[in-house]
Amino acid sequence: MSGLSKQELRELLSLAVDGELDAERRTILDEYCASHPEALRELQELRRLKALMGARRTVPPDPFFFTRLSQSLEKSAEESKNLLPFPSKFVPAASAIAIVTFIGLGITIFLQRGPLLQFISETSTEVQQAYEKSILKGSILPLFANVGNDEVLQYALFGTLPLDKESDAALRVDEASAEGYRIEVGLKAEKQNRPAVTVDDLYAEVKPTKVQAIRIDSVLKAAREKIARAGFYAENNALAIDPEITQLNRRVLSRIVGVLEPAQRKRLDRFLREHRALYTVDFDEPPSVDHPPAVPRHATVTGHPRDYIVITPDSLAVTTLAFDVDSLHGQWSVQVHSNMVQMHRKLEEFVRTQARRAPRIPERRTEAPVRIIGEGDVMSIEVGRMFVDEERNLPRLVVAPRGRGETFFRFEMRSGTVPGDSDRLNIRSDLDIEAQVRTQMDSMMKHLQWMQDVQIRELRTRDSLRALREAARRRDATADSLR
Amino acid sequence: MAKASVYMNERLHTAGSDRSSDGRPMPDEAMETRSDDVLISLFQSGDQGVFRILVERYQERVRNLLFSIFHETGTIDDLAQEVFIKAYEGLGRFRFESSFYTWLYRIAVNRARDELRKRKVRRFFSFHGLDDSTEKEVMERTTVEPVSMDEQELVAKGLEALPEKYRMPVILKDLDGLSYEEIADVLECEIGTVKSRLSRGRTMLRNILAPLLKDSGQ
Repeated sequence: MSGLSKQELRELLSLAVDGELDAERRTILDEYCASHPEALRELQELRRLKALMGARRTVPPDPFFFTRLSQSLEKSAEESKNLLPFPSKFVPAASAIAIVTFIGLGITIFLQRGPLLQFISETSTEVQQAYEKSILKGSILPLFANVGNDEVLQYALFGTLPLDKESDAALRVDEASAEGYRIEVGLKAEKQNRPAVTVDDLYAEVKPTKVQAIRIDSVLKAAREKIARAGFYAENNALAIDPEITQLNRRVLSRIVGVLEPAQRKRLDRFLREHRALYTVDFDEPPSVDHPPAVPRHATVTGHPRDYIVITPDSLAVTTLAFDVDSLHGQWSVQVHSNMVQMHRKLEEFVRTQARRAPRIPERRTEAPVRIIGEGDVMSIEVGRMFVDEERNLPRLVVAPRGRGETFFRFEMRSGTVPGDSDRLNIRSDLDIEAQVRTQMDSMMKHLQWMQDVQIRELRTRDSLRALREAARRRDATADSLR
Repeated sequence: MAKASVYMNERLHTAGSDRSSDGRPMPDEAMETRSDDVLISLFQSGDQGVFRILVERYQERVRNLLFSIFHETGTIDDLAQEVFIKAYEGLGRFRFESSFYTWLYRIAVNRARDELRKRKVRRFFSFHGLDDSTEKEVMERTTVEPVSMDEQELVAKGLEALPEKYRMPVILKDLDGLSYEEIADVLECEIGTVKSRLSRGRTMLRNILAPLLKDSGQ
């Protein structure tokens, strides 16, 4: 039995110490120990070791063990009600870990600031792009953006307003008949071979004074603001147009005429004829304007509800809408060029589709005197004169100078009524009118004061010049007499 | 909160006032003769007072087991308290797949292992302790001289010198008298592993305590 390995012998000895050997293995071990005295000695030492272990020292009993345990259990129960996810005794350790983590994180961010800033920059660019794309999907965009004074003047003269410089489409208004107006949107409307006219051309012809130029600028600015909220296109194929745009061109021109002196009006009339404008100055009627030319103001009302003609692929309606124009134009300003072109193409397609469908839908009328017709690639909206001129509860202000050099303005207000509206609405409208009139009167008074100052300065300058001329004349006379 | 704690204390201290299966109150003596499984069933059915009997039945064994591992009277009471708190928290989920005391021993051994691990880490970070103890420990690990210590102290030192995975089976077998199956249950390993580790541990301990064993054999 010398074939036992060291491990086998060790396990047999251990089992023998525990009395767990069966008869067969006991025989094997006995025979091995008989021939190997060191194995027998090891067995005896292991038995002695086990005996020593069995006689171990024990701890004295603790009579208060359970008392202290129940106190510990009570404490443990209280801790289990702790809101923290760990016992309260670990709060200092947790705080220390949190501080170390915070500092470590701060150091890591500081060391990795370059890649982090790059990452943030890339992410913000992606967000910006996503924002821009999302604007084009289902949001409302103004039809006319970046309209300048030159475009407003051209609109006043020819009634045509391009949607954008890059777009082939345009909006054109026309007094189609005695019954009403027509708004045309489409390619044909843009293809009017009109010469380009600028405000500088107008000024070169009529030669306005500085004061007149300021007043004309304010007229054009007010028109720009009206044009900005005159039309909106929604991505989900809907077009909203303010019917008041039909009169805007004539009103702008009337206001410009109202600013000018008779001689200048004649020059303006010549200018209009030369450029084949839609309107000429009517010298039989005294010039009247809806609003007095005001000193330019920066405050604009946005989100004011107005009546719009709303055209969708299968409906035509006149409804009151409130657009936040500043916000919409802000969104417009972040558009990239390709997206603008894309939007205009969609609008052109929309108009084309409407133009083709309109003749086949003869009943596309609303309760208001508005209807839509189509011709070629142009969609036309016919708006009844009564709807624009009378049904609108807009104040009509006529302000005209009584005479040259006089600093007194005749003030007249005419307020229309709204059929079917409640008295409450009329009262509110009158209050609005009153507020508007007060504002305009203030503006006029300021403007008159300014004009007086200008005239006084001119007179003083004239007196000074006269005095200078007189002094020069005397000097020359003295010199001649000396000769 | 305080009211609930008082209630719990009362429940823990009033095991005798509980009722038997036929609804009659059961005296303390009758309860104390009940088996572990019966007491645990009562505990799980809401009678938390029986926990006191289980504690009193096993507190000394747990304390002595921990003493065999650590040989420190100051530490073992805190550890034993923690073992029974853990048992109290887990007793509601006890599934009778093993005996209560092997389950309790498993908790105690695991807690002891955690403590040993913590001490090892603490010793690693304590440079003074490292300087003071390493050389001493190395000497002790090599041999245990029976000069000034009695036999029990020598055996304790010898056990302390054993690696933990060999020390546990030796303690559970030779000090507590558990069977191989019970040791396997406590240590959550195979019986073959227990036998192997036990034989190896004994051999190592015999080598460590060789001078003592020779002296006592002469």
